[in-house]
Amino acid sequence: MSDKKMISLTIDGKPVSVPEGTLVIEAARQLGIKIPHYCYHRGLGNPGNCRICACEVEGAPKPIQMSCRTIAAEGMKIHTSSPNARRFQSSSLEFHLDNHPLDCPVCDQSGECKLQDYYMQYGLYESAVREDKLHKGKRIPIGPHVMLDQERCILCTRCTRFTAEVTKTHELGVFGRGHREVVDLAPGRALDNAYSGNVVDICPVGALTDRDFRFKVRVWYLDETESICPGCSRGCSIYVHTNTKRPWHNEGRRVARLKPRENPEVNGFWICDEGRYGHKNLDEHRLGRVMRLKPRPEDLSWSAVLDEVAREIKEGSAAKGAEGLAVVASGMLSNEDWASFNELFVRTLKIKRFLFGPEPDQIGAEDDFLRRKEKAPNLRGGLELGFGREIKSLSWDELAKSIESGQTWGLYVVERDPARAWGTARAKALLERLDFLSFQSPFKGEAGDWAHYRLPATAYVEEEGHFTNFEGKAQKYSKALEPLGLARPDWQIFDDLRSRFMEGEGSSGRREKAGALA
Amino acid sequence: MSQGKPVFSAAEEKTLKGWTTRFPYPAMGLIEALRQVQEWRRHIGPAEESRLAEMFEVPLRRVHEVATFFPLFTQKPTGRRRIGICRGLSCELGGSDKAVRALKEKLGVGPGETTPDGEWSFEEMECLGACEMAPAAIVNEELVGAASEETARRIVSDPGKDFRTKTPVGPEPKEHRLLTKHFGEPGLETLEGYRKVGGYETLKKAIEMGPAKIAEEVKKSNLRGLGGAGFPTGMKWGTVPAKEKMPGPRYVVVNSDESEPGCFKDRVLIENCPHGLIEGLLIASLVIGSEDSFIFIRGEYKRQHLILEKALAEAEKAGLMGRNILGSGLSCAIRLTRGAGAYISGLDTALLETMEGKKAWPRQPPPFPTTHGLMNRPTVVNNVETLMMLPPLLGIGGEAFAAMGTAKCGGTAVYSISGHVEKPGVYEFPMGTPLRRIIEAAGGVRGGRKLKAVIPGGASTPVLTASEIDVAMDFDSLRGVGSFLGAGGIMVLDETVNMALAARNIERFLAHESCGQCTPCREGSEWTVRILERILEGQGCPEDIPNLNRTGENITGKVICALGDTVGSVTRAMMKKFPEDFKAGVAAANEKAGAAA
Repeated sequence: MSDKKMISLTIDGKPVSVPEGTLVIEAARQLGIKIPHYCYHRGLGNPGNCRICACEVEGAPKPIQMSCRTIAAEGMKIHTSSPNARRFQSSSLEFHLDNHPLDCPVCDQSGECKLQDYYMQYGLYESAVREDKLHKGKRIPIGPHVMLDQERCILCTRCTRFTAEVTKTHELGVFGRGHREVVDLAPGRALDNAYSGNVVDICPVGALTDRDFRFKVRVWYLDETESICPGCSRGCSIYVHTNTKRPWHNEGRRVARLKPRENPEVNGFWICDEGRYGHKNLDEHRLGRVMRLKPRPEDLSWSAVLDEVAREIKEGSAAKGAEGLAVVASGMLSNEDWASFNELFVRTLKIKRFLFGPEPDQIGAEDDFLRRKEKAPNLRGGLELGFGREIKSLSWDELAKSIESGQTWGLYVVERDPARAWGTARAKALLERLDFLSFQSPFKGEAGDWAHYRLPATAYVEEEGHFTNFEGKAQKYSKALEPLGLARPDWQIFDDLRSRFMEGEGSSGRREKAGALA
Repeated sequence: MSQGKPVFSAAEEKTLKGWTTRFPYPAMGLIEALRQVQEWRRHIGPAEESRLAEMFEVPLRRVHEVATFFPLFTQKPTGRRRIGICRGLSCELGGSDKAVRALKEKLGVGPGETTPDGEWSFEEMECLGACEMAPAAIVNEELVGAASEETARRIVSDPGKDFRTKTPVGPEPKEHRLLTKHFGEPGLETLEGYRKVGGYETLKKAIEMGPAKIAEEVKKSNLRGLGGAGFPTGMKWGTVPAKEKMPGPRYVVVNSDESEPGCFKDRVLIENCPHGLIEGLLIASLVIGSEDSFIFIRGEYKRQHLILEKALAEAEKAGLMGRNILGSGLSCAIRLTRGAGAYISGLDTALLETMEGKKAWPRQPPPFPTTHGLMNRPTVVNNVETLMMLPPLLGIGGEAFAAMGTAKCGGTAVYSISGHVEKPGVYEFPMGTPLRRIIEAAGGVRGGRKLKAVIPGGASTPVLTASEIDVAMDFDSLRGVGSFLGAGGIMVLDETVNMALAARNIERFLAHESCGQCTPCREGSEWTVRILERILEGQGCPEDIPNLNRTGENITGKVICALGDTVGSVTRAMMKKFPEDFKAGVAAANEKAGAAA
């Protein structure tokens, strides 16, 4: 990839080879050697002001160096846990803690705090502080998502560098001087940029906490699953943090928070607030029952409902023409879903009319950083199968007209709510004209009430699959939670339904799919 | 901010806009503009900050950082006049507490407060660079003199009056004086007076010599940086990349931010001979190839700023600077730029940050300023005295200059002497002169008392005992006894001084001036002060002394800049050499505890 010269050195006796210009702290990381650090962050540079990442450079005139400021040189012998290096690390930690309130029991950072972690690894001394701690501001809401505690702050400047260099919005600064200085908002400003939540992630201590997550669950009760943000076509890598061990916490919601997962090719270290807080409704207005609503409401088994849906499609098509059936879907489908969707609706049922494009209900704000205007993660997955190429998307208006004119008698809606596009009254009027409406989704939405059949699908955190982002990168997301109720992945519903149209083929069970299509 | 009443009047806008174009980069005028607003409004509010951010095209965050970093700027209105009493070590020894008490009685308000009629704000200040007048007093950034109790009261009654005493410059006879040789001759501060003693003749000579030959002479001279670091000047100049290698502008900046307790020689040098500095700066600019040079002067040197302004105007009018200097075809503009009350601005990289209109957080070299300095351009930062040495140096030649000093430190040094001596003032001696001789020249210890200790190079340098004063005053010899020559700010302490008090005074200064960037210095300096205060109150505990030693060691050498290094070393040296003064505070606590039991 790089034609840079390689540099060989040893760290704690282990040889390592790194490209020219690599920092010692990074060379150590490559060996799995962790050097404590606060101010240094790969996404935010190395001001070298926290003075904790000391290492000893054998034979150097000044042997103790900051590993975040030292560039690896040929033949260097580095020691990261020699007595001198350890002493430096530990003494620096003492200064970080001497005015720290040590309020861990009531601090939301507890359990993922670098002051705690490093104290256990590099500290373990008895406190020599006999003085009262300095007092600064507590519990300052600095924006819609972030709470500031200036007493816990160790002034590593990660947050101010983030707002200065990454978002370039400059809401935060270090004001005052010396021990009186504080991180705070510039006068009259609020930390309300579209990426504000990231400052919570990069804050190594409990100075910046997430107003949404604060006091909901202790972090040691959380489980972590690798996933992809479904909020837009960027496909940022995320972690889903789930709370199942203490279900009575977090207001009963299973997903406690989303965190960015480093991915240099897509999102670096960051995610936007829109994506970060997009999990809030994951357990709300969910479909869990398999139902026929019209003409006579009844809970059905999957097998029974799919038999009925298949029969209605067959009979309707025979009587009113197959072209009168339209399908609404979107980039919310995974690659696995798209493949089965294609098999069912295009190859088997020969449907011609689809609505899948990012019509206004899936268009939102974008910027030149991460946020994309298509608020669905996987339009690109459909594109590979012809959706958006040979198969053009209808607009909501076109679909409405075709219902009004009677051209469309049946509609199969997947993970999308027509009421959001048409408005409640119009959507109700239009959908009630239909002879057949199958509504398949994790969420009830509004249109769910007007459907003939309501099929519960899994949310992305309850399944595994792949999303292909706008650049064509197929990325895997993993299953973090069990499905709610009887919900099934979309692809499985499509496959099972398709089997109703296949002569001589039984209901297909779960089968592995090639997800990484792109 | 666009709706409603405009923040500034049209005339004010014009003045402030003027600062956006005064320097090569707009933001360089930000601190001057903030000074202007502080003067007009007596504080800097959010509306003013916002408007300045727009005018200077910098984030509001940055304006607010600058406005809250520098003590000159206030967020709440000050009184119409600001009176400050210096609390630096020499001033504390000189009775600053008495002056503070007298002022408190007179004004009816204490330090940090403003009189109810809004007329006076009263502040205790860090070193004002007038240690010889201890305790020094300042009104609206202008040094007004020595604040005895009586004078302190008179300053308030008669605010326009100048109560300064004349600063002695020595020694007499002048045979070994190079830089201060003509000091005291009438009119030296004017162009005419300076020319009478041969002023600007060296500049002519230098233009004929050309940069390479001058640089060679300076190398031969063993001239060392006299601002404190003692780095060989010729070597520093030599690290500036050649114009062919790195085209584009390069700068010479005079560091005139003298702010360390014990140091005031730069102030006296400028007052006596501003043209000497201009000539030295022009010569250095010639060598470096700078067509834009700057004099960065500390904000509290208001009078010295005016003196330089006047001298620069004279020099420009006489064709000595600006375009086509003395018909040589060479050009060099010199502009004045000011700090706003931060000691750390005197550190070269922090000085450059200040000049760029940022708070003075030191940069972490490499790269060094000589390759990446002001606005990332090659920049030489030299102290006032260093540059003023150039005309006499070239006058006598590099070899003769070197011969005056020691093997590695050429020429002379100008010392500020204050504290318990008979004649505090400025004294010039060849490098290597024994400290004892310099103290004797200043009249010896005041009142026939016994000498206890000497701080040889300014408050940040480790203390020497009375038995160590035969040390030769030069960069290398002082290192040999565990201290530094620094900027030659000699503070003499007699037998009455409690060293724990001296330590608290200096550490309080360093804690006040710590920029807050590196954790060990930011936290450790304040912690050190609080422990020392407890010891001074007789509330020490036995662990305090080992703790101060341990934390001191943990700061020195472990931070980005030299200020932090001194935080750890000042008290340690005092505890090592005068342990009884520190143990007393611990013992007192033990006695109390014993009595209670």
